[in-house]
Amino acid sequence: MYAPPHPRAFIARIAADPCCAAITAGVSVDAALSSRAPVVVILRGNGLSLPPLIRRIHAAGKLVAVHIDLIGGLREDRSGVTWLAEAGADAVISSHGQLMAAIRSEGMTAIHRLLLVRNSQLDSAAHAIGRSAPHIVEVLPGVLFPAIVDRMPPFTVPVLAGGFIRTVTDVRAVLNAGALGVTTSAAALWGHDAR
Amino acid sequence: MPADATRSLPRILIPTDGRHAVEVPPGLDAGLLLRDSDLATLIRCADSGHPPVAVEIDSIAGLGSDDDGVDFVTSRLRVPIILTRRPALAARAAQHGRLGLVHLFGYDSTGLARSLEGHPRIDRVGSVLSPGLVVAHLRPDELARLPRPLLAYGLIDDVPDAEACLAIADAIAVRPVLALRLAAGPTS
Repeated sequence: MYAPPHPRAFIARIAADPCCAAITAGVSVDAALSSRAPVVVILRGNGLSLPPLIRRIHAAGKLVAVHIDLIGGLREDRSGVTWLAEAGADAVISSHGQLMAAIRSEGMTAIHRLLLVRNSQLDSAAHAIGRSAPHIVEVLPGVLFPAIVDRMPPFTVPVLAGGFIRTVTDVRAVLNAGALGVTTSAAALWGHDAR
Repeated sequence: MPADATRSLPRILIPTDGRHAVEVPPGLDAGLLLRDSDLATLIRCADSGHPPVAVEIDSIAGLGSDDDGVDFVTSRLRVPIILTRRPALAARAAQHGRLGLVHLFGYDSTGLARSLEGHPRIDRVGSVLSPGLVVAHLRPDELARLPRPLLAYGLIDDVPDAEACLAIADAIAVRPVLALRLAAGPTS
């Protein structure tokens, strides 16, 4: 059975190449595989038909993160997480903090997605992150990360920023604000060295 | 969008739970948005001298997020603007001659597009974009797809951001302290 890399190794891959490719399963796959993006993030598609795609991504030397809340065919629960582990996912993303323990126990990198809505919710979101203890926090919409980072309680884990990140300028601003990396569907940015 | 529906939306909405005194700064085209409250407080506020111009109906404890709830708030309490995640309820408010605003979530481009799929796109039904600050980062084609009027709601925390969002959206929601700063005049 495939063994995912240790979360520290997963994070190191992104630190070396901060622009991750966010795709829908079956769409833009070739472009993602031919890019320098270290991680392919599968946001949508049929989760039950992912194993061949995950094998292709691994064969291209890249890691795979799957968004369990958005993918079709899977429930966002412990069994869904186990299924993704057996399918070969290296990381699982979810807005559900209670899934982080299950993701960690399967040896995958746990990514807690944090949706930025209002100032009044930033504190409670930070507490939720503290309880769920993910390896990475993904902040959406990531393009706002530089504007709101000073209002957010500090996280003890690395931050990915995703959402409306479309230009090299956006990427630089996010990285300069302290993010580990970005997830973006803008193919021109995949693997781009924006630092 | 009929002129009366657009007129009912002030340029500035000031969120409040109705349990603490919040005043609309004089000279500002502004009104109160009741959210995260409860049915008794909503009724008390509606009967007060400073009733809310808008209610986020899904966040009012004790009030059904259904047709009866909308009918009560629009017809009985005469609140002119309803914010809701449910497109059918925004359309119901429009049937009463009120303004319905459907919550759209702007976390990423794909999610925004999916969020728009359920919008009824009828007269008197506009949009609430959350977080509002992201409105300044949308492409023209994305902005063109957002049914108007458009309220930018969330994470707008200083005067330059507020002015930037007001240049694009029809209205913004801001905290009372920022409304006061806006009432003091433009930064430039």
